[in-house]
Amino acid sequence: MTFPVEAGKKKQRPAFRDQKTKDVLFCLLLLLPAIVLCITFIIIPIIDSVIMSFQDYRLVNLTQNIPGEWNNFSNYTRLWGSGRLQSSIMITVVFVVATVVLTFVTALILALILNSKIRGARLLRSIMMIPWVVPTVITGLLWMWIFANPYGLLQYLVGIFTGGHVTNFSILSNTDTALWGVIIAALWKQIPLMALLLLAGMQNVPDDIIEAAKIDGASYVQRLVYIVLPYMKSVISVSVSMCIIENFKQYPLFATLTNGGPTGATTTLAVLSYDEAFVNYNYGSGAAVTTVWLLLMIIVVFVFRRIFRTDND
Amino acid sequence: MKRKIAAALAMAMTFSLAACGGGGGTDTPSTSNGEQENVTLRFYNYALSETAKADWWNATVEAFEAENDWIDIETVTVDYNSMIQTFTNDLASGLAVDMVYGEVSWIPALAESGFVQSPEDVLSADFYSGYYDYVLEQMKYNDTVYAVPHYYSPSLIFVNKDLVEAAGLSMDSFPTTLDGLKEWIETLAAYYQGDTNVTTIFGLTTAEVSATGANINAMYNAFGGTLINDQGGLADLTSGDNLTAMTEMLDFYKYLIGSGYTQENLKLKDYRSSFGAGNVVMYVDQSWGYAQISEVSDNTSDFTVTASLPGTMGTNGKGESLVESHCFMIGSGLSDAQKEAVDLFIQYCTSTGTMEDYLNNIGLAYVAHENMEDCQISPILDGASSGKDNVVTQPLISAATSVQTEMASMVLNYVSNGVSSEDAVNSYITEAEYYINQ
Repeated sequence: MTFPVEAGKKKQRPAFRDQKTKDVLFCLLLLLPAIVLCITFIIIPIIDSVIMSFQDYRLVNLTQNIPGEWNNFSNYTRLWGSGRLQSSIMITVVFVVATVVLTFVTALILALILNSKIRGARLLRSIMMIPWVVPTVITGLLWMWIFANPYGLLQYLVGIFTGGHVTNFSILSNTDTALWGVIIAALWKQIPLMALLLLAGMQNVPDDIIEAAKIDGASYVQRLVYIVLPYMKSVISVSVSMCIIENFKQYPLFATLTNGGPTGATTTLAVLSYDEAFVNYNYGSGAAVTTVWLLLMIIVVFVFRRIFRTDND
Repeated sequence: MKRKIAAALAMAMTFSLAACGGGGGTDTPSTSNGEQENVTLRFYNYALSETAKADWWNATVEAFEAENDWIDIETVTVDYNSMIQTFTNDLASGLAVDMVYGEVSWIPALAESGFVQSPEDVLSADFYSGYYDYVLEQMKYNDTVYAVPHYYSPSLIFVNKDLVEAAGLSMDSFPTTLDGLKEWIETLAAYYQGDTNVTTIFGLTTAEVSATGANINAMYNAFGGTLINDQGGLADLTSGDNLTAMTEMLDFYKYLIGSGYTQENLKLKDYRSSFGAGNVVMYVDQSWGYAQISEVSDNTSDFTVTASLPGTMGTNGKGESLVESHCFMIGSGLSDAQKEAVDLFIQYCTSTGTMEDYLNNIGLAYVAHENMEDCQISPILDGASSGKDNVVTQPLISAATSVQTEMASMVLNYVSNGVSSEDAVNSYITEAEYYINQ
């Protein structure tokens, strides 16, 4: 194969290659702002945080600009030895799995209902948006009032439905139920967005294929499992990924509702990281929790994306 | 051409990002005005986030500035949860932290980070010597005093006089022993059984927050226990008086929560608002909790009285209380003129003329400086006056907040989670040492 050559040059290189190099350089130039942004605001802070997690880094290091000192993995071993790290990983995983599964199932049911052309679907869609637009901290405060002991709405309803036998039910004060109190608040906040995303995906499923399946005698469940859900694979993948990430880094609801209590029953990685860094001012230890947290999140999202990998990926 | 424009835009964006990294601080303005140098003080004050206190502080600062026209005080609201972040960010922006008004528990973090200096180096010697030693002692961290108290409070019991008298009891015979207190509680509980308006007979906070931790620690001291030893480590909680005090204290919480005389996991502010609404007969708090009680209605002073913790609490307890205080901390790196201004301002705020209204109507407390000796103290505090000198101090440690907050977890473990008192205490020791030794 021969290439056209440029005249007047000592070294003759293929014009195709020159053009390709120019294009690559031009692309890099256009990408430069994004690369600089990524490096400055994402990569460097992450690297800095990982380095800090291996150091003894206290408040005085921060305020007096004193470099941290390598401490022989002490931040990690201390957290592990105290059992805090394992406990918070477990609570985080339970919270994420329960919230994501319940959000997805409930949102899917809601999307199916809204997609069935029922009366008032548009109004319902608008109302459903409300929890989503409410700031998370306000959601926390709202549910704190509902769960409040002894004057909360939940307490009142439990009193009525048990005929006055249960008078001191406080969901957030009990180690067995506190996490579920936060999960309920998280569901209230997150189901609307998930439902609307799934609904959008559902409305893109071609009608003719559904019709063909109907003619072939496919039942409602069969159409849902074999046609609707596979068609929604990319929407489900994106929305569930978002939900996983959102709940992995959930902090405002825990801060407003339980602050990690009672007796550590809702201390997730987010709460533990905040407590170590900003309550005990041990930034090295806080960074260690953050590093574990980041790794865990990357692994979970990676595995999830592998499972839901589509042809386009 | 399009390529050139796109390239130019990309380069412009890249360089503009680099330009964002620059920036410099602003210096505190300091100009000459006749012979007196004008100074500005940046004053970080937690109380500005509470309406009643904020009004008083704003008026006080304004009056002080009117008297001292060469001093300009810039007030900044700051709260416990974000103070270090606020200070760090402000310092990075070139803003100075000249003066802080906060709680004793803030001292270790601020002293360790170099934000504050010893007031002994700033305040005039005559004035400084007027502080009561037993209050000043609580401001010590690593053998250095890092703050001066504005006023102080022991732990005391707020009592709804009307509810007590309706049950046939009299404040004149308020119990002086733990057993006597339990008898009162039983009498009141029997009287108010089935009355949905009275939710709490004797309130003790157990929410896992720092204020609750301090409150539980105060109860532990009242039972005769010591939490932090003189070396700044965790005292031996597994034997002697400390174990007795801890066990008796835990049993008292179990008695109250188990019998429904108090609710678990409530914060002090919950009790304050419930007390103000007339739903609580008695609860334990600091004197300045009245500020939030009085926000509920205008007539709270009609039924609110106080009492000291009983002088006999369990086997060894003498009802001794830890000193709690709101205090001034002075920023490091002040100029001489700023030091003079800080000295004047703290003296102004520590005078009878300035404080009488505050101590009677806003944040009830006891005076901590001889300049306020003539200050009229609110009659609401009359009943607790015997407890104001029955105080003990505890060495300040940097992990104090977490170590005390863990006490709430210990109480909940024992009272609600079925853990034995021995296991609850051992678990607490593990947790407390985790924070102390980090």
